[in-house]
Amino acid sequence: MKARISTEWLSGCSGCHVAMVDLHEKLVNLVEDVEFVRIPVLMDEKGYPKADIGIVEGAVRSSHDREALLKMRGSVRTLIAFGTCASYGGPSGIGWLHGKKSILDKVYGGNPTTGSQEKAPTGVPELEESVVPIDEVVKVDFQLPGCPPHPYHIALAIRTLLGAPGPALDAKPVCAQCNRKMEKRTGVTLLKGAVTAPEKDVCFLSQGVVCLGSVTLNRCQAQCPNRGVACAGCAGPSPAIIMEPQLDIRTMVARRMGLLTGIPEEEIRKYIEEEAKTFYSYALSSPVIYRKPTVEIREWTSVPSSGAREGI
Amino acid sequence: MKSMVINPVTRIEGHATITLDIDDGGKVSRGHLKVLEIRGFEKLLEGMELMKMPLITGRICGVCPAAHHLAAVTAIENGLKVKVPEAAARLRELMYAGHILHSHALSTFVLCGPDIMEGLDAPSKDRNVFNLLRLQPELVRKVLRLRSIGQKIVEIVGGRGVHPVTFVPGGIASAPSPEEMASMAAWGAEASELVDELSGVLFGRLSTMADIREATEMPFKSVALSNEGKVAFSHSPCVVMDGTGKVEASFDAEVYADNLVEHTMEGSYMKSVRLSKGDEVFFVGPLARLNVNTGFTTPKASQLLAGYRDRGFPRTSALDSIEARLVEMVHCAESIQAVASQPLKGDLSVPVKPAAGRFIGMVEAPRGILIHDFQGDDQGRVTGANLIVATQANYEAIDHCITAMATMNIDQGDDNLLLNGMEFALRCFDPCLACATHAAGSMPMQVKIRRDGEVLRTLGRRIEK
Repeated sequence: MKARISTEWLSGCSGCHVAMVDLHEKLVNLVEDVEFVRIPVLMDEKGYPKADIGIVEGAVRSSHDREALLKMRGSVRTLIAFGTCASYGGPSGIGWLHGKKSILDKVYGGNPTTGSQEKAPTGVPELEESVVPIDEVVKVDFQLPGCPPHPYHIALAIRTLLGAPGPALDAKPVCAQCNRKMEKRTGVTLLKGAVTAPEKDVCFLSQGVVCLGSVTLNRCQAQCPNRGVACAGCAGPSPAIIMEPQLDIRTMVARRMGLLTGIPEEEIRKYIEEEAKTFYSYALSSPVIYRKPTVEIREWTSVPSSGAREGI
Repeated sequence: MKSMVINPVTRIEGHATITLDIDDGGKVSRGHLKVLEIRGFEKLLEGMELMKMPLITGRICGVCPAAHHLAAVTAIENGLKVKVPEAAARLRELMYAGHILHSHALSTFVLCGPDIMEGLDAPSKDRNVFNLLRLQPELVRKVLRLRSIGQKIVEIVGGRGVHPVTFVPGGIASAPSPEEMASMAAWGAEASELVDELSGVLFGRLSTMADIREATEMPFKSVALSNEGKVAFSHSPCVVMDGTGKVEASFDAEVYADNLVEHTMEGSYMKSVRLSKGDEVFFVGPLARLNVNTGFTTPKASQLLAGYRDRGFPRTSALDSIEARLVEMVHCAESIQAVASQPLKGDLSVPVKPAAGRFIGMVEAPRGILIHDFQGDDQGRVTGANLIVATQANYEAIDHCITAMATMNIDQGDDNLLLNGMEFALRCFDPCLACATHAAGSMPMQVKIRRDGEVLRTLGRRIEK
């Protein structure tokens, strides 16, 4: 019998679902092996039919999301946190920093185009005070982060879950598939704000550009650095960072870059802390980051806690 | 007063519900799209590095990330008064053509296709792309191939399919190899043939939908970018055309806030957008683009546009958006061929440095105008952001068409037809709710028919116990 797959999306951008369609011709082959019983972007099934595999994109932002997620959990055997928002909060999770009031005030009152009379809408599902990854709400069996995960990794994950023979997902960082060479240099300056570097075959870190490839899980085939853009960390932290409380994105990058360039580690670390909202944007609402003893996202970003939940 | 709810709306790029109010005489008083969640990117972006806006704002939407990527980079370059080198401009055009092709193919054939091919009264279990795949596998493979061509071009030029990254302030981060350019040129030619063939299949069906065409007529203005009469996707003023085809006004990106105003809508996190002058409703997207422009930069699409306009001008039926998308896909295929078959010369970027200021970019997303507006400080950080997206701009036009379709079908005694008619009207706008408000969750679909708050009956396509 074909494995039944059901999908749902919560607070996210739909990009993970689009990445599934980006299996291209392979999607047709996949349809021969599995049956999609629910996939809201493509089908009119509006309930939660029983399924073997549940795929959830997006973080939990509202009471609505929470309810949908619980229904998904109740209807599927294996639940996949699909993409970085579901796994670590992702860009949706940046809202973790801000209480709901400051978001609503900004959107409905603090814009150049909102009229002075406008107020936040009524009769809508309540936003929760914060945003959390889905494993803060339900048991998750499998995480497939990535913003979105590359279709190659999606296919691999589904094949693995279906018990098909072949390679399994590995846990290497983005550097594993990056074609750039790390070189030790001298006289390099820290290029703040840069996402590109002049030499296309040399590691960004060697050239003074902060790249998060070495501390980020490879669910992307290292496409960004191979096309000239430093890694923004969109698949979330690598297992090395997750498993060791004392290791963090900023310290690991600062050490590696410092060794390669002679730029003082302190200077690099300070820059990443000052721009924490940029460098931590994909995983800051996940306890794997904010519970680290040395990580002070709120202090670095100067956004005080609204105090509604533990750990916020 | 009775009220019906479609919850959630499916086969759109985002989640929403529709409510339908019915008066005591059984007539439709108002259909209304409700979007149930918000991420609040305007707040989330505050404090981030300005130069990285093109990377993070792409994450607003997985369907049209390239539009956000382009809007953000355009905003920064406008603010810094930077002109990108020729090679970068061409590669951006190439990727953007791929992007529009992918998005239009998805909307037209994958999302609306089942309604058009199966009919609005077909059972819901049959109205999806998987069923089409069973019935017409060759056709669906061609549809997926067409969309793939667009998306693969985005992947090659933009570095990734979803959430491309190579548009950097000052130019583009890398160039495809000559072999990749040659492949893309060949794909452009293939896309051209596929669009022709697939359009033929849809055209026949569309011509039989005169009742829907009439029902979804919109008494609103068209708003779209125009480069001296040619369809443009960036770096052009925005033109306002009235319902008779007369150009009323035009404004540049920098003064968008003097020309557009947002309103909160009842029961929905999505704001609507109106023209400030007279607080007037308008629509954006392919239909508006082909109203305010008389040509494309490519010959075949220009010729098709002439024919399209001969058959009616201005076109103000939402159903005609589908035909407009077909014309635009022809342009994209031509553009891909033309750009990819020329060798690239010169620099890919010019150096840029952030500075304090206001950064505003206005582009055409596949579904209509998209505006990014950032305030930046002298530390290179964003201190304020405002985003106006196409689906917001279409909000009241969408409600108008939902209401019209419900009015048409309310007395047919077929709930399935009634519900899907409303959803189809919405799908014609290719609404991208991830963009507009940043996506909502869902619940089992239910229709509640109420009188004075009391639920008289509940029906649905499928309700989980």
